[in-house]
Amino acid sequence: MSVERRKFLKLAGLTALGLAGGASPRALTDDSSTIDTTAATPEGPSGPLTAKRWAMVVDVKKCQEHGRCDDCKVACHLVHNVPDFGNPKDEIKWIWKESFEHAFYDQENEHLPEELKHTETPVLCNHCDNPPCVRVCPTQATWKREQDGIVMMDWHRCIGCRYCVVACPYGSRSFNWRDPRPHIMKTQLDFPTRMRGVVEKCTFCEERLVRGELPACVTACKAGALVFGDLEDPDSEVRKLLAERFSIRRKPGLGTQPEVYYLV
Amino acid sequence: MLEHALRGDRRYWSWVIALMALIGMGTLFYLRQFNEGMGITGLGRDITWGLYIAQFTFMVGVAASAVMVVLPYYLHNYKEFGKITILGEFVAIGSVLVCVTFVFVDIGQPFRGPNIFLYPTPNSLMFWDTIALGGYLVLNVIISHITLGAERKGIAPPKWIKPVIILSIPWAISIHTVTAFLYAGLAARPFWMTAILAPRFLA
Amino acid sequence: MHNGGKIIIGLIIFLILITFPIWYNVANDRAGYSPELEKAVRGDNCIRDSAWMRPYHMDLLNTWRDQVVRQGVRFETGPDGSTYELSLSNTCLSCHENKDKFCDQCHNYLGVDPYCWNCHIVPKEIQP
Repeated sequence: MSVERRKFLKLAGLTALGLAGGASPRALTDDSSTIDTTAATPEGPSGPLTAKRWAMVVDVKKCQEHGRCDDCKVACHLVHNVPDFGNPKDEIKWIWKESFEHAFYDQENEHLPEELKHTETPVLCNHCDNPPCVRVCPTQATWKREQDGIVMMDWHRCIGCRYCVVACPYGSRSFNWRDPRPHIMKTQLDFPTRMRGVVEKCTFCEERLVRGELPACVTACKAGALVFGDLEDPDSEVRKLLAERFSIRRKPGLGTQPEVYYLV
Repeated sequence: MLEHALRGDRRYWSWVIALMALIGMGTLFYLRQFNEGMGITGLGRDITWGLYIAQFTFMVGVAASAVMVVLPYYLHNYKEFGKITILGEFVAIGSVLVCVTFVFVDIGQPFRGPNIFLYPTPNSLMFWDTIALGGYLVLNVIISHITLGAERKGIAPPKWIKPVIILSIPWAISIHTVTAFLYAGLAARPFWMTAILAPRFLA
Repeated sequence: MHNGGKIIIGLIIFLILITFPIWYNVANDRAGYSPELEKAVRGDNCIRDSAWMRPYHMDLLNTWRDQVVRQGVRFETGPDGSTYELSLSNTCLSCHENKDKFCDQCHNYLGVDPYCWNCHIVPKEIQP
């Protein structure tokens, strides 16, 4: 009896493997090739904003002179249905204010001007040119777009392994530790929420850019401290600002080439 | 051979029942984590990888250590180790399965795990980690099946298994090296970013 | 047959249990049930006709997902020349407002549970 049982178990195991193996080619073929979509026009009704390399310049002085305000964070989190869990552990933030000491900890300088030491500056995903998060993602759920340099997120593909959260030197990425829907203050109907178990971050409002609108934080900043533009366009405002004033970036020594510049 | 597992005295069965009770509790708590989200583990924005990944790393080390009993017999011809190589291989299988379970419970969307194979990403070390661990599991299942079967019949194992066993030795070293590289390549974590991490993990 | 009586009784019980869905629904007069989909509350035409949509709407949504998220292409011109957004919540649900009277009618009957709704908002459910 024992020999037959071994044979039976072997047969059962091989059958299970065979069934699984037979099912997988179907999973690998792309069913969408049966769809005949008409040629897609990339332009929205009001003309998209395009660039070779999007970048943001943050004028720390203007932000600091305006005083304590959270407009950029409030606008971004409202437009993108970012939940508020009420505790720092589960917190999800796409853009937020960080103290100068925390944002630029490698610029340690005891004799910095007093206002600068106590100022808070907005920090967000830097959309690096050499993003460590893109390099480590095992499923390419985050990738650097070739057309404009935005580091994008695909929430359908993310498996929630949090390797990108570990790899990001700036802490720009947040993981959904719980179901976010009950914690969204005011749901905006035109942008999806995310589900628990995926990582999210700022996407430079690519869905607004395609409609010809600037990112929500840039539009919301009353001080005009956030400037958004194309680095490869020599006439853009970001290039002019960077040519006129001295700028620093966060943790430049790590080689990530961040594209958010801070004018101090 | 399975009937050996079903025969035992009272102490044996109480041990088995205690272990199954632990497994049952673990499954129930995992179901709660699956429903409510990973926040119930106490992990948060500042500590994203905790006990799950720490245990995963440790068990990868245990799996690699199986090679410690295989090495003396096959590479140094130390005949006394002949009988216990099979134990090493079974330890490897058990600990690799535990590793895979730890990864399954640690990711936020476990049923999207096959995405790693559907969209292979050679620049990501996590992809190579799954390849290495999966390959090690397959290798050890084959080796232990053949050698245990041969021992049961009282004959020597077939000749072709020897190169497979020799392959499993560098493969065991590679699984822990790949796990070390997972941490070592992160500029964001300077504590781990050192070339010596792989030998440290192996040791 | 050794233990023949018990085996035959066991087989009969098994057959009764395995055909439970069939005779239970026949007994409750649901044998001829077919899902009734609510007509779209606005709009003259869908972007495709329903004979095409019924088997292919899942593939269409998958294609849209890859086009919008991975290629950044958010708008498309339909066969009739109008431009529409490739969006489940904004395009499909703008006409087929009630998910429970439209989408769920077939999905519940067939036991299909797409996870789109975990993220993609049904506007009517937020602002009834």
